[in-house]
Amino acid sequence: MSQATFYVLAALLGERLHGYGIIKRVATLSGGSVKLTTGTLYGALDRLVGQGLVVADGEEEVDGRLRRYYRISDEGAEAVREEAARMRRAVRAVARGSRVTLEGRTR
Amino acid sequence: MRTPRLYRIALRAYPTAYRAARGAELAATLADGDAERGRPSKREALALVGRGLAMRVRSATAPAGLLVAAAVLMLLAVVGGFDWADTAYLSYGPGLIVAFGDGPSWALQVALGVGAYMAIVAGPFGAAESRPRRLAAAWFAAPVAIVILLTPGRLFQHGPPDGGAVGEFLRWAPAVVADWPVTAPACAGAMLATWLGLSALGRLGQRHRERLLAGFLAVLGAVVVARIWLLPNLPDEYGNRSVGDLGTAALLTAGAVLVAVVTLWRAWRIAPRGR
Repeated sequence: MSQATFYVLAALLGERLHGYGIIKRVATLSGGSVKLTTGTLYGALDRLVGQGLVVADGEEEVDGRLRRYYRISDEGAEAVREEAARMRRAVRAVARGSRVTLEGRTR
Repeated sequence: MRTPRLYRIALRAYPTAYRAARGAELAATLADGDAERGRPSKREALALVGRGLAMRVRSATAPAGLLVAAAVLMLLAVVGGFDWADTAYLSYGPGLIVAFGDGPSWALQVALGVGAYMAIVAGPFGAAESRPRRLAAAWFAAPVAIVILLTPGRLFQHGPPDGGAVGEFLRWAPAVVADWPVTAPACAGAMLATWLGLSALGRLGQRHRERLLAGFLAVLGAVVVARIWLLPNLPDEYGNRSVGDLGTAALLTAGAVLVAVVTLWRAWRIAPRGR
């Protein structure tokens, strides 16, 4: 799962959002390290909708702008949680590895 | 709302159909960002051009390239059915080469058939917009691939220019080729016609929104293909079953039904819930 995909799914975990809402939420969640462009966002959204992980959920017009909302599906929530668990395991493995190396050096 | 010129130009990189469908939404998201930044962003415009061009390249080359791959694999599958070591044994007069795929090469033929099937699935059929539909489409490609592999053999089984008894040696069609200049174009024609017919059926299946209906059509497709396969499978005057045999037909049908059931199950399982 790419970083953009992961963050888009994570952004939608709590609430349904429109395009720019997702971009802002991703920036917040990642502490500003992931700044999605509109092109990247819609590339990821098209793929996720195609896979059934995200679902288009209504649209409205605000100041003449078309806003389409997206929400995460049960499968999408499951996928992003699995990915998060995988990342947690990876982090732990690195932490363990560093500890072993450090202990090795101190001896 | 007026989209800035910079974005209007950048959005032209996307295929026209995509722009018509999603352009307004993309423009709105860009405008939201500009409202916060206070100006259009070159980074956004560049990303649009990159994505748009990539989409154009993918949509233009993927189906064509995979179709070529499918065609090559099918051709190899047909040729792969030959067992040249046996051609002398089964030679019927000048210009007529008879070979059969019941030898060691049948595994190669099956492998190539599977390759052709995957190329078809990934190509034109893979373009369907949602996963359940792609699965249904993938199912439709299965009989397409099977029939493509079997058609030439079936075709010439019943009318080889010379030596009508060759069929009794056949298990895995295609196996009989007489006079390459005549049969090769005929084989190609038969393959093309079969492919076109069944791909039309596949597209019909894709258009149905109900997944269950798509699955039902898939099962129906399995039965139809099984019947087509069994249709000429009558004993000849010597009591030999000419095209394949009942065991092969049963195996094919069982395989097709299994794929249909798995497709149905998966399509059902990944269908968005809670609507």
